Amino acid sequence: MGKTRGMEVSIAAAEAVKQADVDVISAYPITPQTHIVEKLSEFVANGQLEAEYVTVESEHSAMSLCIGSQAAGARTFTSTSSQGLALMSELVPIASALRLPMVIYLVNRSLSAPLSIWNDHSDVMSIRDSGCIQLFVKDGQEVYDHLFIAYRAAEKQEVLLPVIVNLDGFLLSHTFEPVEVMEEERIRQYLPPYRPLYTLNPDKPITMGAFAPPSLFTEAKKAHDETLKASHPYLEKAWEEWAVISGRRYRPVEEFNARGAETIMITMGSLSETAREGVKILREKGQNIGLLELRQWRPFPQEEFRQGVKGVRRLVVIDRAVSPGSTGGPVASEICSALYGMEDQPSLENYVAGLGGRDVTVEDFLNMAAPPSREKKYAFSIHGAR
Amino acid sequence: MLEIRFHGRGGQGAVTSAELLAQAAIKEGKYARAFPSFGPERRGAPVSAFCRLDEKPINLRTVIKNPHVVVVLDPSLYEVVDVTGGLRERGHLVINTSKDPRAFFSGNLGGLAAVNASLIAQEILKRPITNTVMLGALVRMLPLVELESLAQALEERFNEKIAQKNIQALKRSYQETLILTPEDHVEREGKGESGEAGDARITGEKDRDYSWKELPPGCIVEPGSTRKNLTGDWRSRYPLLNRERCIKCGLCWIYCPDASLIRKGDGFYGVDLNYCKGCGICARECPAGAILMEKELEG
Amino acid sequence: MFAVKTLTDREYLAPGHRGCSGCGQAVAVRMVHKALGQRIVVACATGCMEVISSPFPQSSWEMPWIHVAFENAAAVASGIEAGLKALRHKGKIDNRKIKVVAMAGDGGTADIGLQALSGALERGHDFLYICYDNEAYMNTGVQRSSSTPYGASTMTTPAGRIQKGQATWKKNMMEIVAAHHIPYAATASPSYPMDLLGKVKKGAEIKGPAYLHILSPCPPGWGIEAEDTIGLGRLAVETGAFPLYEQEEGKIRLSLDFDKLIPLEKYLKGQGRFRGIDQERMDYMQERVLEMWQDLKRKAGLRELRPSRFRKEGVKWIRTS
Repeated sequence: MGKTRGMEVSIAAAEAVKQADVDVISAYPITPQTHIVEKLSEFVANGQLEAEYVTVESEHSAMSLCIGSQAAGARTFTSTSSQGLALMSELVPIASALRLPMVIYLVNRSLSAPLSIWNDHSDVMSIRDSGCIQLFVKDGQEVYDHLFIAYRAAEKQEVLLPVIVNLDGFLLSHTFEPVEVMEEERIRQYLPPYRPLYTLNPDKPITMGAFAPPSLFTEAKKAHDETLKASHPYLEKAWEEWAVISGRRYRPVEEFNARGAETIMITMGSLSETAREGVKILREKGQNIGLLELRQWRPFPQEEFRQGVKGVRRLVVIDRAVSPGSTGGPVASEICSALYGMEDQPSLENYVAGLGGRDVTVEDFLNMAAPPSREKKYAFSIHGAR
Repeated sequence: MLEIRFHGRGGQGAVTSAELLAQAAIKEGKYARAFPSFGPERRGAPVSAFCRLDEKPINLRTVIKNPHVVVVLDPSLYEVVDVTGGLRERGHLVINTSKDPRAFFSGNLGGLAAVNASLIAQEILKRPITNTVMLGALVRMLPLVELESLAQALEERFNEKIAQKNIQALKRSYQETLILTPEDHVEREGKGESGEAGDARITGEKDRDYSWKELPPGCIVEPGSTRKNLTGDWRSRYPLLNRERCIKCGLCWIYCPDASLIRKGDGFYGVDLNYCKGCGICARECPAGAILMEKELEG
Repeated sequence: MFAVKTLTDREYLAPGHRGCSGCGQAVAVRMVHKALGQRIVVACATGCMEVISSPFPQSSWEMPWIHVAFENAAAVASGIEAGLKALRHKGKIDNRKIKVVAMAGDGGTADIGLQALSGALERGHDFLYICYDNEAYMNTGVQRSSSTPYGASTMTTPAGRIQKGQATWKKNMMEIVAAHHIPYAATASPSYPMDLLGKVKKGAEIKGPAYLHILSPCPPGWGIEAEDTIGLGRLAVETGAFPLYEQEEGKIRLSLDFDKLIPLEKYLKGQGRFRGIDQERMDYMQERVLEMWQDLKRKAGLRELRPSRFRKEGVKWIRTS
């Protein structure tokens, strides 16, 4: 087994990138992501990682460079946050449509304005429909583990899609905590060298990035949608295989005291940990409540989700981003549509919480989970707004 | 509702034709819509434009598949585009030709209007732009709008000098148009349906029928595959090489945008008419004057 | 002029592309790739060349070629170069040289792509960047770019009653590139094939970033006949409007020098985009073109033109370098 050490989660993330033996890293500083690429540059400078480390002049070029490098057949990594992702956002759907299996650590931070360097999920929600696999993690260990899991699934020839691993800015990225770093040997077993299906190679020339006439665009989009949905079993497989070598088993929808619960809270990312504490307290007080943590945001795990909420009377969905002018947060909207047509639909209360670094405490969870004074089928509010 | 399709080459003003007709109709209190077809094809390539006319408001925003009328701006198109494809039974055809129009009549046409628009355009406009000229022929056969409304539309669209020349061309074309009706028509032997040869050569159509399952990952494409797209269709003139004058310098070959001059074993050059778009650079740049551009024969 | 016969018969830009009849850029691209050969990878910006050459399921390109977006050809090329370098280092691909080439139009280079280009040049990637300059956004139907010449009418700088075409002077990309101190930069024209091919070869052989700026006359955008593309390109050079020169290790070398220039008017008169330009503007342009030519000659260490600077006729045929 590996060795458990205390380390900043950003450093654990960089450690994982090093162990995955990536070929190319494109780096541009943005808070709170910067520690990851700083550490990587140190690895490269000290010869601990053999990779081309390119300090680009913008995130737009960072993603462009990833596309070029991955298309040339190199295992490629980049990391960003917030405005950086917004600047990349023209290219993220291109990376996925060209089927380039890069991995991106997205250290979640709010989108301006007002400028905020602190955490929420507005950045990733702005590229929800980019066609990438999108995963959420809740602690340092999950951050580390998911770099390998992401490459393992992404590089399958049936998948070939970018994976965005979402970790909460500061709350995760800047926290010092124990992380088990795996032995190199195990990692090499789990993650074999990247064997691309096609590359930009003069010995076998291809054209990438042709445009589609109206007679083909629909088919191209259909193919992309089907491919993303079909990546689900490969993610499952990658998690299963990871469990074999690490003993840690991940699932698209994680359950905590959820079996037979009347009320279920739903969270994504690092909120899930604090939420567990809330659930424990409420359980002790006799409330029949459980928690579902949505790990796999895209492709949306419809089956697992429906299985998880079967027989539940009440859902409390916590969003970490506003969808201005909408009927709820982006996660709640997704869940409403996932529930549509289900028998005995539960009621749904949607809270947006933890915007721009606002602390979400155990008490907040207790308040949000408390049964409403008047039962409603659907309710939405921005929690804690004065 | 009446639906009209215009065929031209990129740069000849097919879209302008459709818009002028629509503008004239709108001036008369009718309802009209004009729209182009969008594609990667450039100047010289066969293109089409569309116009819908009605007495009532029009709510359709779809491609016109079965027009009532087809207007062909360029005589070199008959051989390369299925111009009457989808034309309704007893539909009307308006053509630009210097030939006997009877050769273009087929049994199921409701009427044919023919005019030597290229000649009129050259004489009055001094340019081979036949779009307004063809409108004269169109309204001669089918009084869709008043000639005067078209003239007004032209005046609004262009500066005075250009507008007046176009109006002159429009009126002359109106006068000189020949109309053939089914009654005038004499069946000619050996002339098949005009569509068949055209169908097979319409650019790339055959390649476009993929299901999503057949698409390669990332929509990657095989190299050099535009060779299937024969751009010789775009040509209205072709280079004629004179071996006696040729000094085998190779400038025609290196200056060709379409790699259509082929170096032969004996050092002379030949033209690949599959791709030659007839730009004339080779003729212009030949230091020995060994290349002449000849007009493509129509029909 | 018989030297062109020594060039390869292989076509790397396959015919059947949807370029305009007489497209100057297509002529240039054909020549460029005859010089570059097969062992390259190309990153192409959005634009005319991309659209006319790659409608799925067809492609005109015979070499590995990728299009990603408009403003990032230099960044994509950086990525390809970094990827190939890493793979070579780690023994994942063999050691044979693969030259990375980026191509874009003037909009993709001088406007929206300037930042990505600057970044890639400054980082020193081993690649050749080629700007095919047709002096406006031709793919979207002729709108002005910062590379559009003064006085030219475009769809966004029309020759109106008050404003008369482009009001600003053409951006000097060569000087911007020179400020990055890259090993090699040059201007070229498809009207001078052997000169162009020589520069492409040089740019491809040099280690580090190289930049080529190729003037590509555009029949619909410039308002010229299809057959005049090459002749107009030649006039651009012979009037001094687009001088052919190289920048190598801080030194400027004129590729083609003239004792006398042809009056600019002759170049402008042949083009629809300069139709109706008044004498005042014409004089201003002539003066500025002359100034720039003199400046270039000084920098190249050559004697300036004498007062009788104009000649009536052009050099009939090209001088091959």
